[in-house]
Amino acid sequence: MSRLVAQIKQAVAAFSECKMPPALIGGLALAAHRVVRATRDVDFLAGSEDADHLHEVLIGLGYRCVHRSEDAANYLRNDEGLDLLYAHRPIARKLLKEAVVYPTVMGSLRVVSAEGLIGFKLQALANDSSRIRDIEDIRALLSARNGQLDMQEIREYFALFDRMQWLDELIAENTDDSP
Amino acid sequence: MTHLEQDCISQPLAGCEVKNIGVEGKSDFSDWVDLMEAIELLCPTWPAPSAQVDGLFRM
Repeated sequence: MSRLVAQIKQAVAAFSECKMPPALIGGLALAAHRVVRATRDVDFLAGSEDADHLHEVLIGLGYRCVHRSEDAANYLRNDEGLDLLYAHRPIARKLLKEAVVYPTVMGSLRVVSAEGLIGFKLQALANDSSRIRDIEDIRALLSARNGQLDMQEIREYFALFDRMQWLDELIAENTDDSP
Repeated sequence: MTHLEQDCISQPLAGCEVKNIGVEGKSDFSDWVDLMEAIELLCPTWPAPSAQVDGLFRM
C-alpha cells in the first residue's frame, strides 16, 4: 500500500466520530468525477463545529498544526500534509451535507460534487491566480462531466468569483471539442 | 542541402497537433491509487508540502 493511501485511510477512519464526517475536496477528489491526475494534496471540507475535535484527532495522529484560522487549517506530519477547509457559510455547508459516499480501496470516502469542486477551484484561483493547475482541473471537470453538470449551480460559482466571461469561453471550448 | 536535411524538413515535428486528452477514470479512485503508487516508486522522497491555505473565502 502506498504511503499516501495509508495516510488517507488512517485519517478517514479517525474522522468517523465527527458530527459531520469531512468530505474530500481538491485534486484528489477529482478522481471520483473521472478526472485522474497525480496529486498528493490531501484536502478535506469539514464542518466548522468539528474544528476542535479534528484538531485533537490530527494532533493525536502525530500531525502538527502549522496554520489555523476560521476558514482553514494546515497540518503536517514529516513530509505528509493534510489541509482542512471549514464549512461555515451556507454554500460550503450544503456541499458538505450533500457529499456522496464512494466505496474505494481507502474505505468509504465522502466526496464533494463536481460542481462544488469547481467552486472551490475558483476560490483557490481567486486566492492565487498563478495556480494554472486549478484552471486545468476546472477545464477537465467541465469536459469529463459535459452534459451531466448542474450548469445553473456552476454559473452561480463563476458569478460569485466574477468569472462569468471565462465560463462562457470554457463552454464554447467544450462545444468546439464535441464530436 | 543534404538528403538528411531534406528528410528532416519534410517530416512533421513530433508532438505537433497533439491534443491534450485526459484519461477518463473509473470513479473508484483505483486509477489514482495505481498512478500514485507508480509515482511513489519513481519519487520516494516527497517535496515539501505546499504553503498554507488562506485568503479569500466566499464558498
